[in-house]
Amino acid sequence: MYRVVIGKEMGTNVHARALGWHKNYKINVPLIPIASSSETQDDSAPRLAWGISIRRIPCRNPRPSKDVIDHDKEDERQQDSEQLLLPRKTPSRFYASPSIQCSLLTQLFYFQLSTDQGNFLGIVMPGIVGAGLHVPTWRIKTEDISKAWGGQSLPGEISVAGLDEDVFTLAVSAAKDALENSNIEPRDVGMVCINTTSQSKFPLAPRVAFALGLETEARVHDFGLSTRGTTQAMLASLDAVSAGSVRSALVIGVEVPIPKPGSSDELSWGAAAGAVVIGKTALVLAVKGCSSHSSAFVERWAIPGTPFQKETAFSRFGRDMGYVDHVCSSTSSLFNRLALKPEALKLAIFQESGSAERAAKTLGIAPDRILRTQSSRFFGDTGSAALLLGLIESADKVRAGDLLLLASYGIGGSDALCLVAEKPEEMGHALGKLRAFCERKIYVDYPSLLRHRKIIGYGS
Amino acid sequence: MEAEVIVMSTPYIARELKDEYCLIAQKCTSCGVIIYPMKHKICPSCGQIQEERKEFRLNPRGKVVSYTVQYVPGPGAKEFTPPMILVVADLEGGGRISGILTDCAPETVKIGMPVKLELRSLYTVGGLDVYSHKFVPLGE
Repeated sequence: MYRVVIGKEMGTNVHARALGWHKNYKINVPLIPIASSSETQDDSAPRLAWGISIRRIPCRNPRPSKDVIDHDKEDERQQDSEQLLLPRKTPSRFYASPSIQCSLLTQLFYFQLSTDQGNFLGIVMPGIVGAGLHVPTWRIKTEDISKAWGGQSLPGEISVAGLDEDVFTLAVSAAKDALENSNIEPRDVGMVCINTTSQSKFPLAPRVAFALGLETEARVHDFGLSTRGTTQAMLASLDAVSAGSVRSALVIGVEVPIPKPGSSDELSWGAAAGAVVIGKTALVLAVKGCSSHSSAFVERWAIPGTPFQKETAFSRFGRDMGYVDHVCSSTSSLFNRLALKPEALKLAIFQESGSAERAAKTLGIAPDRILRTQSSRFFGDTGSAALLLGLIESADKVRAGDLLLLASYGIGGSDALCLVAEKPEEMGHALGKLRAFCERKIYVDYPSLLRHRKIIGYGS
Repeated sequence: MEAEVIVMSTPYIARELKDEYCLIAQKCTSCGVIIYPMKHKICPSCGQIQEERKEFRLNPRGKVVSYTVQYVPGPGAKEFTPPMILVVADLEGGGRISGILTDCAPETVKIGMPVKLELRSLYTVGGLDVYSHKFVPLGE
């Protein structure tokens, strides 16, 4: 009987996925007792079983205990589990490479694996290989917007797309930059995922793939309707890469917002695009684990027949029940899954919002660990692109081995990812470019802003 | 009411997509001159008939060789609003091409200024954008 014993605190899900979906190890293991040194918070066995593609065999968690390596108890537990879990005539299908068979026969323990160790064992953890960005040159001072509407606002500025720029052109520029920074040839990219909450006249991903010169067989996915879509695109790409379906994938978050004139959003929404390349080798940031939280909560919705959105009149309700609740749920679930403590995090990158500090406080993350981005100061709230720009800005704030939290929020829920910095300095070029974008700007006045957003003039 | 004619799906624009989006130029098989966009059967430089079109991928970076600023609205699409900066640039790796310089104030243009080709919307037809490359200042 083969057994796979995986400590829960070591991120069962990620390892199980890496093990099960890797093209060389399509294994069906007849029995999986899950040993854990921590109390199981949720039912890991079915999930793990799903990860290793044993779908027909019912699995259950054995008694959780502290003595993971106690072999006598392990054997008892196995017999116990055998009776409980396995139908007698379950075929023992097991086809893996000889080395993996040996390791499984001698009982396999996964401890915290670095990428190199993982590669040695044949388990390749996917992660971020490189990043790129594009920000329009045009800016408007928030005071100029307030002046037009007769109000007052805090000093600041936001980026505005040019007359000849839209989500497509921004996405292409950011993606080209990301490919250039990560030294990846377009023909090696097998998947393009784009997220935007802004208006687009056509599906973006296929055209971006064409403009980048990718193979025509490349998979193309358009996400949207929520800023959270960027992390969902990342999770989909990570899964595809770890499954071996594609060698590397491109995730793009882009925003060219058209807020309603006179609304508070007009003072904060900026245009920008960020892109990351997901791959298996030469990682800049490896993914240690992820967790999601979804709900039916809606605090913002589209106004039919217009490019504008409307949000709930109760901003505190939206903040507490929306941002804080969702981000805390996904992040605390991630902490439980990886048995992480908030103090272990070097940097927390939250979705751009005034409520990030409140969420961090609830989670027990110290305020000095929250990434305060330059991009939010110079470009405004860039929605779908914000987290990717945050990742680029983390380049000079973390060292190899540091843990980062990436928590998104958008209508429908939140995703939290735990990343391990491997070679963050590799993102230095993108960071330099981001700083150059902060410097290079041309200011426009309010009527020009309306023209740039095609609210007045041609194309309106 | 006049019927709106949408020409985006016409073969002309669809055929140009690869050249316009991916910066694919044509290299003369005889004299090696770089022609962009690639639609010439006869080389404009040496007159050699091109039996097959030899593709050449342009490097987007280059330097301004010459420029002019147009303050008068042109007869073309209404999106070409003045002041419009037209430049001729030499690209790194070969090719001298002309185009619009965008994201730049007319008084800051200089000969020898580093520029880069970026995909931008050129004009709209029936509400749909027709994209091509424009020059932007590189600022480095």
